[in-house]
Amino acid sequence: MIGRILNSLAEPRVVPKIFAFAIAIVLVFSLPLPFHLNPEQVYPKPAPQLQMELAKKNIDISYNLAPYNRGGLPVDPDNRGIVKSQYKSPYEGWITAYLTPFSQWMRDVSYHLGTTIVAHPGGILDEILYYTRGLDTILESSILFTAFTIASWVILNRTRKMTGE
Amino acid sequence: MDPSSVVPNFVPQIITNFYPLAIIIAILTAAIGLSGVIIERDDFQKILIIQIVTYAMLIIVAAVGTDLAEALILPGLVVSLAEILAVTEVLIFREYIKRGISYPRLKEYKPIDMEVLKTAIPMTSLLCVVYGTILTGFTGGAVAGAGILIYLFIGEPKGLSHDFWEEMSGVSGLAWCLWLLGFLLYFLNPRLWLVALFMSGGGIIVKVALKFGLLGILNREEFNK
Amino acid sequence: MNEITNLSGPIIGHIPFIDIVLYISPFSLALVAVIAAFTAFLALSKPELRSVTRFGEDVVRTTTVERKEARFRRFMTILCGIALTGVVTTGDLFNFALFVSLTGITNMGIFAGVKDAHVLDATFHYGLVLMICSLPLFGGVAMILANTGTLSMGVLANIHTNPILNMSRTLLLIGAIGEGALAPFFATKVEMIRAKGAPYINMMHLSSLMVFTRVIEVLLILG
Repeated sequence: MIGRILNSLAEPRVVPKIFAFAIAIVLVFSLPLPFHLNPEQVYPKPAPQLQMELAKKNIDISYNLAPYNRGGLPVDPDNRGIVKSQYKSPYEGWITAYLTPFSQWMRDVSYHLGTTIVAHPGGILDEILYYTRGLDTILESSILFTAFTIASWVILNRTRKMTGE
Repeated sequence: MDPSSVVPNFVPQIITNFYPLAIIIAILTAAIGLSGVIIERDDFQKILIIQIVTYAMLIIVAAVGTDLAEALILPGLVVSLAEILAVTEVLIFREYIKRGISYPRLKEYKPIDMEVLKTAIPMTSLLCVVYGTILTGFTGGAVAGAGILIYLFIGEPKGLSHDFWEEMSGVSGLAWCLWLLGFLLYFLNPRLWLVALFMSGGGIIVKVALKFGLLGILNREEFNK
Repeated sequence: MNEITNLSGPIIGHIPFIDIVLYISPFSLALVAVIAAFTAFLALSKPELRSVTRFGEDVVRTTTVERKEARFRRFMTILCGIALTGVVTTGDLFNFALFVSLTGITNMGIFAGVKDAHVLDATFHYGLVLMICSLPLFGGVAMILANTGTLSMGVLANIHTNPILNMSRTLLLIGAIGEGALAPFFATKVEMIRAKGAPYINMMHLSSLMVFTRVIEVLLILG
């Protein structure tokens, strides 16, 4: 009996299946657990529409950048954006307000384009992705680069040769 | 106005209330995807079904609802994308090996003969490249790459040899290094942000655009010989 | 930090990248030394010459790995060594998950170009496991983040465990086991290492060993 089970495990074809089965078991048995979100998080985000409401009451905060507005001026030590990071660093909050001239123009001419991915290569997400958690981004692109290397190597040296190149 | 009222100190109530629901949905999604992996027999279908499992992961990450979670989605997405790229290539090579050395015959097709497909292509790709250059960064690279891709797929370029594109992939690797260097410079000394920005912005636009172009040329050489 | 110092001795140094803090302890220093020595050994050695005898013939054939493929595998081996160094030194959970993913994909890269249907079949299924792995690894990390509000191991070491944390730890363990192709999911690794080109494919063993060692340490830190 045990031998038969072990024999059936020794086939590469079944490995993803039993792996998926193991994860599914853990997940399904954890369904009745009391999942709750700890409200004390790093980098909290304002509630949906909160910045719009504030902007309606007050002219000072522009709502063209609505959910991503963190205040501050670019690269200004006296006027930083609000960033609640894990470990404090002397330069944090410098780029939360950074916008390219083109993005500034898009922010000014419309209410919604300022925060779309076409126009916004700055802000809080760049502060997190490129500064406070920069190593993650390096790793992520390294993984992508490795996958590209594998795929293009296999194409260039294997499949193209086999097809009679 | 006091800026601290714009960004709260704690996660707002509405996100906390939605969290258990989101997790239950994620677990159900994962269960659907994983049962698909268990049941499905076809290898290619398995790759597609595993995407459902990835969606479950994205839901779990997104349910946290902070800026950090929003930033963490990108690495998760990219990792699964990268793996799908490599795994499909291994699958294709395995199928070639299994069926012996034979040239894969694709079905012949006739493109629709439309005037627009001949005249509009250079203009469209040029617009994409120019707009991508203005945008800079990752998005700009993707837009510019899409322009090159359109040109390569539909425009039938002449005179671009295979060697040229191999060199281009080398340039793309160098651009990636430039991006990393600029990035590290910003890390180490944010006062040099302008130089770092130009290095990384310029590096990544070249890299992403050329990668797209490389994919296009590989596809064209592979199937349209 | 008491849990970390209990497990791996006094912390010798920190390498801070703002929020992501790598730390070096005597334990991780020993692991890094092993990884560096092994990777250097593999990168400097030449690919094997395998002799094949066949029944019914009176000849012994020597097969080699072609030079281009050997170079590609060496590159992947070095990359895998770097990724493993990150795995054993990182002090941030999400970073840990990313490093483990990088290890998995470089492992797959070592075997991606082997001209053998069996090996490719096993590699493909290993790749499927890698793709599923993104759920337990990143999902488990995100659940820990939701429950405790932090990703830094130094802070997490002081937090008491609860059922949801235990479940996330189980997910992390399954993810790491899948990436390292360990105990119940070993069949892909066994088939893959039948490929020729001996020195480089041994990286797979080292990576499973290191990933497993490190994930156990991480789980103990969390608990």
